[in-house]
Amino acid sequence: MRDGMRDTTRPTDSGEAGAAVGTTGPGGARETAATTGPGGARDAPGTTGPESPGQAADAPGPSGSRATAESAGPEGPRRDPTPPVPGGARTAVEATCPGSHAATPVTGRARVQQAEAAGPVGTGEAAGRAGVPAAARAPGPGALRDAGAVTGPRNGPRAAGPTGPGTARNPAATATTPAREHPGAPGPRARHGTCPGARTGILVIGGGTAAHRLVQRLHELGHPGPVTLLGAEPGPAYHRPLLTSVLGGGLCPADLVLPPLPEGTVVRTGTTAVAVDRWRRVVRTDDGGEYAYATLVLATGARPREPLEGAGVLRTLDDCARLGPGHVTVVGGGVLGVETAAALRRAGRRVTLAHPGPYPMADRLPAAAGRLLAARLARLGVEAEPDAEITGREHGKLRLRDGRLLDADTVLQCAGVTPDTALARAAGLTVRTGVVVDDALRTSDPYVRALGDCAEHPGAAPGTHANAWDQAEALAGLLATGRGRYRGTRYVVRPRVPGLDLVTMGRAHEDDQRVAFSDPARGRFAELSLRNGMLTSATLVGLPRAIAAVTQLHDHGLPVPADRLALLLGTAPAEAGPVELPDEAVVCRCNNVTKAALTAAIRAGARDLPALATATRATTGCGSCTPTVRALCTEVRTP
Amino acid sequence: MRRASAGPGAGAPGEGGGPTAGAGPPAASGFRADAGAGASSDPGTGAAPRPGAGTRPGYGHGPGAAGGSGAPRSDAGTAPAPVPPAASVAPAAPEVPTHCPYCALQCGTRLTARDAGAGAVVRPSPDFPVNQGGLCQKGWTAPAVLTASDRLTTPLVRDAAGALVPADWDTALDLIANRLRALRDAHGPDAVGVFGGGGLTNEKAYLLGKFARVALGTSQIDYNGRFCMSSAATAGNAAFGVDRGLPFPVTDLGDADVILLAGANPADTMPPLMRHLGRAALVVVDPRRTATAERAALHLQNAPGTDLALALGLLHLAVAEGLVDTAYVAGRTAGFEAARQRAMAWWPERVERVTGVPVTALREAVTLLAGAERAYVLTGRGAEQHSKGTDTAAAFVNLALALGLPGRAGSGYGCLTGQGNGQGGREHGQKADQLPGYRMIADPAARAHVAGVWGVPADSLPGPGRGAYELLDALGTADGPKALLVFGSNPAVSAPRAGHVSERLAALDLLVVADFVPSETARMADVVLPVTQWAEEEGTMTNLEGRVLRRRRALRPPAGVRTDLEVLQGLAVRLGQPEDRFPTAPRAAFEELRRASRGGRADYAGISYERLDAGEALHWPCPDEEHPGTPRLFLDRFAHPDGRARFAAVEHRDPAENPGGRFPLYATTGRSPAHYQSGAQTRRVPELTAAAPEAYVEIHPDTARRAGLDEGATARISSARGSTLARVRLVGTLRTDTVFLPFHFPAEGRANLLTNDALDPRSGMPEFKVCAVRVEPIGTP
Ligand SMILES: Cc1cc2nc3c(=O)[nH]c(=O)nc-3n(C[C@H](O)[C@H](O)[C@@H](O)COP(=O)(O)OP(=O)(O)OC[C@H]3O[C@@H](n4cnc5c(N)ncnc54)[C@H](O)[C@@H]3O)c2cc1C
Ligand code: SF4
Repeated sequence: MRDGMRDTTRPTDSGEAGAAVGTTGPGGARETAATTGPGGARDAPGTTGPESPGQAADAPGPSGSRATAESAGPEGPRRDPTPPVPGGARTAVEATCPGSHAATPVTGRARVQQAEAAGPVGTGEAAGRAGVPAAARAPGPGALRDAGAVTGPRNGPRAAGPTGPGTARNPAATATTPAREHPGAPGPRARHGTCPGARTGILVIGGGTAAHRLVQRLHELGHPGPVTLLGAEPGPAYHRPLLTSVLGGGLCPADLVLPPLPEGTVVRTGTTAVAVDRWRRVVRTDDGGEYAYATLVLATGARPREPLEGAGVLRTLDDCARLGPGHVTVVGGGVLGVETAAALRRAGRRVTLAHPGPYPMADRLPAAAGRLLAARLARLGVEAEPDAEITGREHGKLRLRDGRLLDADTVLQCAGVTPDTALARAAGLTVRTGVVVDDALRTSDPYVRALGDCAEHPGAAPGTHANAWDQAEALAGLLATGRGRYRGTRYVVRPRVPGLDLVTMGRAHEDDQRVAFSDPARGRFAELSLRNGMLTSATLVGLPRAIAAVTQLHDHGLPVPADRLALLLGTAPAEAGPVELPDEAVVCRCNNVTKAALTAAIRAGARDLPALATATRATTGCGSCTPTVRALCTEVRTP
Repeated sequence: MRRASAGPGAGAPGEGGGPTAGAGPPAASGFRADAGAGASSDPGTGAAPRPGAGTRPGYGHGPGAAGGSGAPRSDAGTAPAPVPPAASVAPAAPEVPTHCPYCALQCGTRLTARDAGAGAVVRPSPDFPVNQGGLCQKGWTAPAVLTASDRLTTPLVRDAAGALVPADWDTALDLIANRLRALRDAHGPDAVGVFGGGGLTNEKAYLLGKFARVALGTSQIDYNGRFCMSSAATAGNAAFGVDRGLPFPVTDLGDADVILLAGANPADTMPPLMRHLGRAALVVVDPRRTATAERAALHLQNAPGTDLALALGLLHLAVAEGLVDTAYVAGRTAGFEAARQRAMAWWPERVERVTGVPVTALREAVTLLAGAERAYVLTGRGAEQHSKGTDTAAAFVNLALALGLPGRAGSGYGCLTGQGNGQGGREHGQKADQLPGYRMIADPAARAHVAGVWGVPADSLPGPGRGAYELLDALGTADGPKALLVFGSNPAVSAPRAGHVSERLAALDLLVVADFVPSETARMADVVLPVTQWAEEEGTMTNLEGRVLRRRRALRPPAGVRTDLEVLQGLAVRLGQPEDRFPTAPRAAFEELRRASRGGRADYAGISYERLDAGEALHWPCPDEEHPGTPRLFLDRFAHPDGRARFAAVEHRDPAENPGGRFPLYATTGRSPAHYQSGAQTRRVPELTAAAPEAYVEIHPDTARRAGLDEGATARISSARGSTLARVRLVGTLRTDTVFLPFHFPAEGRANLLTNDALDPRSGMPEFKVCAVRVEPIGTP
């Protein structure tokens, strides 16, 4: 993703820094507060204000080493949730999943309602996308107010199944929500008399992978309370990593749509959260709605860096649809740039890839690997403009610092992303590059969690789908069962370039032991860094089996096999001929007949296959040893 | 070297066939019978023999040729079956066509009884299309179990001192009946449980279910097939509306271009099946490089517990590469959209990362399958024995459906049933939720029909009971059964978390085991009932292709032994049932089964001993006597009311337990070529014991070295549930994070002391195929 045009904003070493915050910072203190009651909880906002850690966080990490780290990350398409774009297009898609309430709507227009239980009792008008069972909804703000504004969502746990309209108003999930997630004792509001009520709901902001996965898993883990999801993008959630496949023509946009969320989830697409009032624990949306929460989850994702004038970006389905005609110049040599260029070639477009450094992903790949990548792209017909630093656009052409002018009917900028932290920042949460979270994915406010691309955790692999997925898994477990923690995600970059198997992962240290293999003529390369027999980093090209194997070693923290060469190249099974077979070798597995037994039988007069079969049963199972046995017949001579 | 059949007296078994080894048994006698009634009545007629099978001219004739040059036989193609030597004595007994007692392939065999008490001699049937003249070492040596030195021949009752002592039948049956009655009076009918087996004949399975529901009135009956086929059965029913392992004859596989085998290792476990897989390019999904994987065109060596992600990834690729058979999907299926949506999350790079299977291999697999004219997707226990086994099987069904395979001649989806009567055993009412004919016990119409056949009021039938593991887990607990009757199963070895299950068994007031050898479970029993074995009884089995086969009696059972049907009648009568409600003649039981299954999903109404004995190849459903049976299901429609197959929207999830911390390795369990299931039978065959004498653990050399273990050392393998001891075998092709243990061995060698009792929520299948373990030398605390 890093294209050299801009500094990366994600500090490479955010890990360490973040860790400090996560474990020893206000977060920890806050956790205690959260569990110990109103007083503590109340204190939290004070101590966590934007001041303390926030300031440090605001500084982008521009140092060289950081840039390296950042560039490693990021394949744009692997990112998830869409940032809430204030005032962004919003469609009329409303609650798409029927069922019990989600977070408590405090005020709002008709759409901000409680969905009642689905099923037989549906009472309201059917709304929602085609294919999604419509929610039954009570119209009118009045109802809202009654239902939830003060007392919180009242219907029973979702697990209770369809309920009548009456039950939808029943008090609530309070009992079944993990204690930490709602102040059992009255929260700050109660003390101040302004409390909108006990809340039980989880409110998720963001409609990307992380949010979707979280909601799905909450349901599967039996989380009983209401869940509401606010997503700024107009349509339902979809697989961002597959956007390049849409560009390439392999998939159509509809193929990318994620499965509908579980029944009972209230989904508001085309709805942008514009402010978080952490004091009242209410989120305001661009349509004037207000949503109360017991737990707020930020899954706002990241957004592409500000593009050059006239350049497009690739982050959403809309971006795909907006792609201009003709010759496309892709700006940026990170994973996204590489995948995008390859995909556009697949679609038959003329493509130039303008990237910093001598080859794409130069900040990440050793030279030999980078050259293999460049060669493959060239073979696909991608025209390369290496060492390209764009300074501007003139008359439809791109001007580079060294004076080159590049043709460009359409410019697509794949220059990395920045976590979408506007909402968090405005709410006074601790933000560095992303919203700082601890192992419980808690922000500096214990009632607010963050995950996915918008979050910053020391152990995460920022900007990757795996990251969002792992964090969603961990957070769902925490919210539904109170157990578990996020243990980090290992960093693996596996660009999709037809005809090329390439992976790079981890981060090497100076004094690591290296294992290297380079076979450029056959398009193969490997470099492993090891420490105490464990991988710290690896880059492999053209070794598909080893890529899969090494990735698993890396992901699971397993020791590297002693035979490094076998790991990289595989071992050819030693095919001993029948005569070289040792005597004790079992020739017929099915009947457990050894070569010695066959030889003895042959010597005793069984000279052909049927006779040998009779004498020893060899060949009578699956029959696959027949050639070997036949060969033995001719090879073994009676003395 | 049919030495094993000479009984335990035979020395040094398995050490290779010297020329004398084949000389003993008087098997040649049988060849004459071939031309007579025995041969002609062997099933197999009606199925076209494949080239090389059953077409050997002169096979079986002229004993004089047997030991000689083998002139009449071609040694091309499939291997010939061994032929007994010429110098045999004249026949004392006719050769009886029957089938191997063990696995679901039910290889056709010819049995010749030897002198009284000396067992029998077996040879493969030359013309049974399934095995085409082949047998594996288990089949060849099966007669040895007939004469096992510790064969049970008298009932045993535990005495006051705690020892099992001989008793006569009346004493044993009276004792059981009285205690059952007392327990029932004190605690209600569900205080008595019944545990059956997938090796029981259809007649036994049927009457066992009836016995439970009618004579005991208990809902607490299930069987070990729950540990075997239940995931595939659940997925198959949901997808196709009916569950028949292979909805086509095995021989169809012989014409396939490509076959994907997910979690099946037939080269080791049912070798003769490989004769049908010779033509096809095999794609084998298995965490181990098994004998089958060795023969594959493509081996996808996935991490244990990730088969579901793999299947989703293959479907993803089919969609992304435009390989979905859209006309078929539109015309013959429902639910594709939802399944596709799930699969879209599994792009190949992600699947690679989760499964460890290279992207290139995934692509190749899909390309192979989709490009084949005739392709099959087959699943086995490796994919199914997981806490997500049903979803995994369903994901492979999804793949097959997307490619348009099921219900098309020459292609399809199937699961390879494992136990001898795993198919029939699950159709006739020993499953907790089912009545005969694959009817559901909760369905009022099904209850009415079956109750009518049984002559009891429908409302007297109990409802669904606990699945196998839940049943075992509940034994001796406050609301669980206090007594258990076990037929054809050895759960002390074969159940997951076997240590716990043994404790539950020990907590019973009464454990009754009917078996022919003192299995590990029998040794725990309060009463042991000696019953007949395969070669001593008549009945039917239904093989993995849904074909009903005749098991025939070749020799008299030892004195003192009764058939299971006699045992059931003896108990039923003592419990107040009319005698004729529990027939002891297998044929009579089958006649009743026909009526009970009539109109059910597995309809046997048109199948009779007469038709089978006349050599007809009958696959169910076979609704009436004129019906030719149904070798191929679904050619016109699937069994759902709308005729469409169903995709399932499934999502991958991790195993219930992942390696880490104190238990850093995956353990997976399975079978070795020499043994069958808990080994109760095969461990009594000297030749097989010589081949695989004791528990072993396969481990990668690196992993072994790190653990301080070497080839041949004894390792302690521990999981959160227990530990087991096994001899180390270094296997360089294993994943370094995975060890493998066969589950056939007893006592502290039980692999199932380790396995996880996490259950599949839909099928009740335990997670046999993956758990987290630690491996260390013995002596390590
Ligand atoms: C292909 C396949 C693979 C499997 N893989 C695994 C695995 O990896 N790990 C795992 O733990 N489980 C595995 N299983 C599960 C296996 O199915 C179970 O362990 C279980 O079903 C076997 O039950 P069992 O031990 O009771 O049967 P068996 O071991 O066959 O025991 C049957 C018992 O009944 C007796 N018996 C047999 N026939 C009769 C009769 N007619 N009358 C009276 N007594 C009789 C026998 O002597 C024996 O004592 C697998 C199953 C299959 C089919
Ligand atoms: S065990 Fe199975 S494969 Fe082996 S001979 Fe018996 S039926 Fe055939």
